[in-house]
Amino acid sequence: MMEPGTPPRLTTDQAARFKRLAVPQLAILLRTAKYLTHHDQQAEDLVQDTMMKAMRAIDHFRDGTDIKAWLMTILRRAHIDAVRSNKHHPQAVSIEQTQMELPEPRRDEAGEYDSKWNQPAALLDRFGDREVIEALQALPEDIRWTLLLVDVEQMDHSAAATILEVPVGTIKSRAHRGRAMLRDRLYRWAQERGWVSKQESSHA
Amino acid sequence: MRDRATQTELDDAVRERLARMATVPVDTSNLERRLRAAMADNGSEHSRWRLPRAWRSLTAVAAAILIVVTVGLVLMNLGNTPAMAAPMDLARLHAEAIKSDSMMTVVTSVEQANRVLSGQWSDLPQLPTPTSSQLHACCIHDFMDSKVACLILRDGQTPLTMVVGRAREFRPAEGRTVERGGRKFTLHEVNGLRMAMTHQGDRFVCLMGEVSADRLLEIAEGLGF
Repeated sequence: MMEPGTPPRLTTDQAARFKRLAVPQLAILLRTAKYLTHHDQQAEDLVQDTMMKAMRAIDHFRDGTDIKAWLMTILRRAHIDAVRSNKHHPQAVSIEQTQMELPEPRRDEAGEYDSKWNQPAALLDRFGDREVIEALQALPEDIRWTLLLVDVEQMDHSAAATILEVPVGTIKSRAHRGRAMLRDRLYRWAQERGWVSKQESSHA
Repeated sequence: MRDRATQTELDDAVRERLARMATVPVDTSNLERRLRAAMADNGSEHSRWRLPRAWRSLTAVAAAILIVVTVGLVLMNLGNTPAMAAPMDLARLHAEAIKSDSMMTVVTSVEQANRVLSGQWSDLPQLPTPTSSQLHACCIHDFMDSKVACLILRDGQTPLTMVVGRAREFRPAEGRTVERGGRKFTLHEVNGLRMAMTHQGDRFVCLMGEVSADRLLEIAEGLGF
């Protein structure tokens, strides 16, 4: 459950502004939180925490800037706080640990099975949403965040870089690498299901 | 054998598959309830801490009143937010409407449907006119604690449902948005049932059926508002 904190003191204008700007983003935040936390209850806790923080900080949001990016920044920080305090993830590892678990990047950042794919769109379409979510959730956290912002929510690289507090180049590299990791996982599942021939794969 | 996909094709395919994850329906109703409850809890907790001191100071009393009023205003504002029309609930409504087709009033024109339904719902929104599908039947349905008009259309042999509600009561669920004929439609799919939702003036409209997304948009674009 969310931290009690100080109750928001909003004027009528602030409340109306919060309602107009932030409330319509609730579904986007909740979807991101669900793909991030692997858990419905934790996702709701996280978004609730985010919304309370956003409500308190609504005066800091500048009109004409990207409300989704602003809220995503708050969501990410709330998530880091939660992971560090192990409040939402009793068995969670730290952000630093997840980053350390990343394999060394290959020079070309290609997937292990990249030379074996044909008709990639058709093969990917055979996977249901739940399976794609599972594959996403198996990725290291910073890679998952990048794909959630850039590919799922279609945010530009610069907005994602601001939210994740890394250079734009890192976002591009992570996105490319994340896609390769995701399709490797899905390809392995496709092999297990017999959707692609293992013999063909091994000789391709 | 076909040529292997290039790196760019692979990246594009993954990117497109992930983009579709943004159309997976998300139900925010529980979170909205929790948010309202949390704010109410915070308000009362704050009052418990501040009120004893408030007796000693007029300004503290004013501050306490301000907090209560503010929390109330925010709760009212959140309460007035239109509910998200959940695709799963709409899919159930479609299934029920198709199943109970024979229990609905048979109509052949929107004017006739407007006359029939306004007798059952005095606040009936003006129904859009389908131009590229045939109107078959109509009824008033309870949906998420509100009323909606439910119209059965036929596209050839395929039944479609058009749900019309008040824009102040419903909003389209977040999803992929496309623009057709100057109007924005939000697209969803639940088990092969495709949906196109839109807000037009004071109306929330959802058109759904087991047709291709292109065909559904073509029919939606042809609606006369």
